[in-house]
Order: sequence, then C-alpha cells, then structure tokens
Amino acid sequence: MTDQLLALLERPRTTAELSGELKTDEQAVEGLLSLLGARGYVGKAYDSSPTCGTGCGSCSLQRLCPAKGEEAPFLPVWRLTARGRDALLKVRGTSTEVPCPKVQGR
Amino acid sequence: MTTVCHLEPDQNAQISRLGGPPGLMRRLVALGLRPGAAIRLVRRAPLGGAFQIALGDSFIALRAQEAGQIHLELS
Amino acid sequence: MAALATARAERLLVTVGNPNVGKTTLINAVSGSRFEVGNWPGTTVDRLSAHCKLSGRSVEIVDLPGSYSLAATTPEEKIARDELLALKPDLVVDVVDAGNLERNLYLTLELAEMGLPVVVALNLVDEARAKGLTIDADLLARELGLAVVPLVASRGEGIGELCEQALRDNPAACPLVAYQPCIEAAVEELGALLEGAPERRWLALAALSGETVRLPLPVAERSESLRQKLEAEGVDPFLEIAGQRYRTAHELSQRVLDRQQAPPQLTEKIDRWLLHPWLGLPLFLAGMLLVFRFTFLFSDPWIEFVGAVQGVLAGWVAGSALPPVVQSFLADGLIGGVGTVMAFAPVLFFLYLAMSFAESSGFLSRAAFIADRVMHWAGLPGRGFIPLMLGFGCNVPAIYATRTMEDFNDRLRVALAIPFTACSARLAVFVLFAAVFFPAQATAVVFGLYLLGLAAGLTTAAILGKLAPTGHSSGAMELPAYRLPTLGLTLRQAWMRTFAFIKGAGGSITITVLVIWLLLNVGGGKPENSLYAQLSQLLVPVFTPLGVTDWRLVGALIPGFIAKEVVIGTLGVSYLGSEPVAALGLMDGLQQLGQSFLTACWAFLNAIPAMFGLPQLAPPAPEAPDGLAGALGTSIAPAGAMAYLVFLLLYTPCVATVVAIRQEFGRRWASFSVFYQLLVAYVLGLLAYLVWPS
Repeated sequence: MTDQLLALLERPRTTAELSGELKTDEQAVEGLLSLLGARGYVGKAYDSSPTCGTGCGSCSLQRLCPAKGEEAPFLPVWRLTARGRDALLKVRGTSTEVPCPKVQGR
Repeated sequence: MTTVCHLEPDQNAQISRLGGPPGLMRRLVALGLRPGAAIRLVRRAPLGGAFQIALGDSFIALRAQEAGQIHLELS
Repeated sequence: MAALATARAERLLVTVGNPNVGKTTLINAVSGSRFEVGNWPGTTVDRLSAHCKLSGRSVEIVDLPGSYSLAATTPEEKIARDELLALKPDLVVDVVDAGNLERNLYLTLELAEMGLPVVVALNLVDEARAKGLTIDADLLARELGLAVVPLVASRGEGIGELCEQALRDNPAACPLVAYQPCIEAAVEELGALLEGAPERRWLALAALSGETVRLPLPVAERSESLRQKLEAEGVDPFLEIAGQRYRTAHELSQRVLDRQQAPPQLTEKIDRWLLHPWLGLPLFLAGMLLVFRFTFLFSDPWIEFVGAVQGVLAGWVAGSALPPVVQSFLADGLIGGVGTVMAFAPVLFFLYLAMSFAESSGFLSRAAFIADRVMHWAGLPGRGFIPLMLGFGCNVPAIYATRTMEDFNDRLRVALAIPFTACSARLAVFVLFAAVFFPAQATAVVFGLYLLGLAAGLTTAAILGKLAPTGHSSGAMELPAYRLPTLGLTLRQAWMRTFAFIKGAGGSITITVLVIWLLLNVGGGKPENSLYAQLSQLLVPVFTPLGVTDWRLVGALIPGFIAKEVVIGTLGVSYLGSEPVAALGLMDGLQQLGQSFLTACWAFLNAIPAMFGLPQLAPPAPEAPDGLAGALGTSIAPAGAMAYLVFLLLYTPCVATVVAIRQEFGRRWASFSVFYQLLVAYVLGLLAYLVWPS
C-alpha cells in the first residue's frame, strides 16, 4: 500500500483524491500520511520543500497556496519529500529483481 | 480555454484553474474541485439551469455561473 | 479514595484507542464515574483512572492517551506505548470507532503484535449506522481472533457485556499481519534473541522500522545491521511494515463492513429520472404532495385524540366542586394551552419523519438541485425551497428546517418568508369564508390566497436580499449516494426533534393561551363586557378602512395568534354564544378516553390504505358550528370579507412559529417578523378592499 501511495504522490494530491485512487477510506489514508509524514517521507505541498517558492508562476496549485494571500482557500495537498522520492526510486529500481515476493495479508 | 459550461455530457476533463471570488473558490475546493482534479460532466439542466458533474465516485451540482469559473484542460 | 488508589486491584484494565472514540464516556459507564484525574509523570498529558467493583471483584481501569498508532510520533502515543509495555495489564480494552473502522484497526493490529490480551470495544455503532455503515461484529471477532463487543457507551448499551468480558481470562492476542518473507525472517531472528518477552514480535518490528525502543545492546546492534541489510536490498522496512499493516486493516474492514449505499452506477440511474430536465420538477412536486398527504393522514387521528382528551379533562373539571372561574381557568386556559402544544406534536412528528427520511436517503439534496432555478430569482439557494414548501403544511417545522442551509442570511430570509405561506390551519378559515361569500369561485379564491402568500414571502426574501447583500449564495453542493435509512434511527430523530419543540416552545405557547384566556374572562360574565370585547371595539376604527366593522370579526384575530384555526371557534362563540361543557363522571370520562383511543388507532390503520388512494382535489367541506355561516353573511360585505381573508393570511405568524423564529434567530428577528407581517397584511388587505368589485 505504501509504494502505491508514494507512486501516486509523484504528483501532489489531496487525501480525498488519494483515497479515491486507492479505493480506501479517507481517514485511513490520512493516518498513513501522518505516519509517513512523521518519518519525513511525505509533506504538505508548500512547506519544507527546497523547490517550493521558486516556480510559483507555473504552479497549478498557486491559488490554493496558503503562502499566497490571506484569502486563498486552504486544502492540504500532499507531495513527496526528497526522502520519499529516494524510497520510491529504490522500490522501483528493485521491483524487477525483488528478493522476496509480495505476501498478501491473512 | 474552456470551462465546465462548454462541456458536453459524458465528456472528461481536468481542472486547470479556478476563478471567481474567494468565497466561491473556497467552496469549490472544499467540495474537492481543485486544479488537477479530473471531472466528467454528467448532465446539464435546460434553460441555463444547473450542472451535475462527477468527481471520482461522488456527484456535485453547480450553477451555470459557478460552472463558468472552473477552467479546464480537455483530456 | 487515597487508600484505594494505592492498593493494587485484583484486575488491571487499560483502555486504549484513537483520539475521540469515547473512551472517557466508556470508563464513565463502566465505573459509575468514580474517576481520578492527574497527569502522567513528567508531562502535562491528563492521566485518567478509576477504581470500581465488577461482580464483587476490585478492578482498576487506567485510560491511556488517545493514539493512532504505537509508533510514538506524539507525546501521547509515546506514553501509551511505554505504559502498555510497563503496566502488563490483565486486559487491554481497545476502543474502536465503528464509523472509522479502517483507521482504528491499525492500532488493533499493533496491539495484537504486542501479545497482550485484547478485547475490542466497538463503540459509536449508532453513529456508524447513521452514516449507513453496519459492521458484522461476529465476523470481525472471528477474523481478529478477539472478543468484539458492540457498544453505544453514551447510552450504556453493551456495557454489561463489556464488563463480563473484562472479568474473563482472555488469552493473549495472536499477530494478524503477515509481512514479506525477508521481514519475517528478520523478525524471527530478533525474536529468538528476545526469548521470553511476550511483546517480542512487536519489539522486533519496531526496531526494524527504526523506532527508538529499549532493547538489550546486542539485540539493538543486530537489528540495526539487519535493517541496513534490508535497505541495501532495496526494502525499506518502515514502509513495508506500515504499508502491510494498513493493507491488512483495509482488507479486514472491507470484509466486515456493509456500506448500505447505492453504488455510483445505481445512483446515476436514479438521478437520470429524478434530475431529468423536464420530469424532475413534476416528480419533485408529486413527492412533496405525498409528504403532506402522509403527514396529515397519519397525524389527524392523533390530533382528534388530543381534542378528545381535552374534552374529557374539561368534563371532569366541570363536574368538580370548584368555583366557575377556576373551572374555566383550568378547562379553557391550562388544558387548552397544553392541548394546543400537544395538538402540534403529531403533525410535527410525521412531518419530521418524512423529512428525516428525505434527508438521510439523499432525496433532499436532489430536491434542492431541482428547485435551484426557481429559487434563484429570489436570490435564494435551492435548499431554501424545501422549508418554503413545508410551510404549506405547517410553518413551525418549516422554520426549523431552514437549518439545512449554510449561510445565515439565506437562512433568515427564508425563515421570514415562511410565515406568509398559507399553512393548513389557515385553510380551514379560507374554506369557511369562501363558501359563505364566494360560493361560485370558492376554489379559485382559496388557490389565489395560496399564491398571494407565496408571492409575498418570496418578495420579502428578494427585497431583504437586495438590502443586505449576502455573500455569494452558492448552488455548489455534493449530491450524496442514495441509501436506505434505518427505521429505528429515523423514528428516533423525528421523536427527538418533536420533543425539542415541546420542551423549547411548549411553555411560551401555554403562557400565550393563558394571557388570551385572561383577556376573554376579565370583566364580567357576558362576552360583550369582557376585556377582550372592549379591546376589540377599540381596534374597530383601525379596521374600518378595510371594510371590517364588526368587533367580533376584529376580535377573533387576537386569539388567532395562538393558531389560525382558533379564529373559527372564537367567531362561533362570539356570534352564537358558547355551549356549556357537560360535566363528566370519572367512569364516563375513562370510557370516553378508551373509546377515542380505539377510534384513533383504527383511523391510523385506515390511513395506510388511504395513502395510496386518489387524493381529494376539491377543498374539504367547511367545519363550523351550524348557523355561523348565516351569521357571518350578514355581518360583512364580500369586499370586506376578501380584505379580512388577505389580512388573516398575512398577519402575524402564530405563536408557535414566532417561538420557532426566536429560537433560531433571536428575539429581535421574531419581533421584526410580527410587526413587518402586520404591516404587510394591513397594506395588502386595504388594497384588496379597494380593488375588489363590490
């Protein structure tokens, strides 16, 4: 589930969109995101990003960005951090020669 | 650039930009209509009436003037 | 207390769960609210515990801080994790929010890995049901291998069973999540090093995830090297472990959850008809008619019954040895006042029943979608249409129904428009006057009055909208998936709303009835000499321009404030004199009560087939005392009668409606509504008199 989530977050998304894509509960996605966020894999789109704030002119999210103007609506949009991107690349890079196959839950 | 007003029923599109006063924008975003979201027009009422669009598994009703504030990229 | 607190109880229970799942309420229900509140050592986090006796055994309950996981990402989660490891409780009560199962199960799965004895307290099942979610608790218990107790802690439901479980010796839970073989192998290797610790599996997983847990040095070193080895192989243990737990929670909840919700395809199919460009509006209006029909067919027998009870009580009072003034006070004032309130209850209950159904099934949002275009010209959102339509049934629930609208200004404008719509109580008066003065065009007159009321209301809303430009009245809203609400929940909701009305408005209405009783009875035995008659005569000059010169007609408007249909009764008394109430013996009264109850039940049963019969289109025959029609015909000219009807349609809302406006919008708007409507009624009444051909 986490690798799917990380892959989806290559493009910033809201929890509602993520839960729609994963066909799962929005609250559960929120839980997983906060867990991953606490470990630095994902973050809100606008904070702690080294690139955020440099390309605002072309950003499709600029009108939702709380850094822009006080009247802009607020909605958490999640994205990968550098660490999350690394983790995703690692999962991708090894997915062809996975040392151990996936096991389904009970 | 097109808006929801110009969609045909069952046509898919992606939201590129929202316009209108901040209050309306906040309302639209709260309903999940944010730039990047994929939508589909379900039906439109005649005589400039309301629009019904699908966003994922949920349905949203809009007035014509609100629909005109949702700018789209056709897909 | 202090001595109790230090002594170790026979059994130690800890409660753990996500924040806001009702843990405190649950402990309250189990222990009978004998709490001790303090802080967890070295923190500001509240520590809640309770001592109590369950079936004679002393039990200590410790509430751990709300946690989503045991990964210790917050101070609360760190306390919960450390205490679970340190306390070694006899039983862990895992409180789970039934409406949010998937997220809550994550913690349950972690607890199972700790090797502790766990009971799942499935709380808030009522709220989950309201959201259309039912959980197969037996299946969940089998899947988890744990006891599962469904609960509504706030109402004490299921607490008895939970207490029984709390005293049983539950075996330690078995792990439920299967990880990738490489992770499992590492867990096994670390677990072997931790031999003897029941929580070794959880500890091994936490160490592999890179969490800070207290471990013997060699184990910690080994786990770190295993973790690095896995990462070198391209496996991030943290992501794998968290992901697999979430996947298991998701699959589990999918298996035990039944979402009583139409799938999107079915919702779209139903919408194809209900939101049809041309059929939508007629279907919606037909639905509204059905709601009214349902309400009046089913409530009528009970209103009659309330009337019968009033009659019997009045009969008993008449048979008593009390002085006549006291008798009249009891029969007409007190019993009449309470009776007025009670007579509202059946209408409200059935109207609320229909509304609750429409609301939770998803029909209400569709109706708003359909009506949006109609409402738009008055500058109102589509959601305002339903309250406005309900106003034709009864203004009172209509006022409360404005709550479904989000914007305060929109809500207020609709609420001020509602009292102009002709409720069913006014219909009785219209029918009587139309039959006397306009026998040839009776139906047209009644229908015209309905339209006039609606137009006055909408114009009011439109003007207010222009005066106080609201924000943007938005039509954007979600159209939720259709679902079938449960009967029990719908009944309870309707009952609670009806009860709230009786509790909130009953007092004010009774007092108003008593004040009017005082007016009618102060100042001598004959009605002509009463304070009421004097006041009415004072008011006659005000109404002369409208062509209403008879004090009895003017006066009837005063008690009309209680409920508009009271006008007929008052006219009857002041034109024809009142019939004395016959005294009733105790046994006769009881017999009458029993009989009217049976009649009501029978009429109620008959309403079921009547629902599906053809509706009656012609206005009902006037219900009035014999001779009143003739007396009225000679006391006023048709133009004056028209003016009187227009005034009656539009003047002050009845007391129950005023109280409803006060409850929802405050005293200021309630008085505004009264004075504004009196003004409009007067001006339009005058116009009607001048325009009507005489």
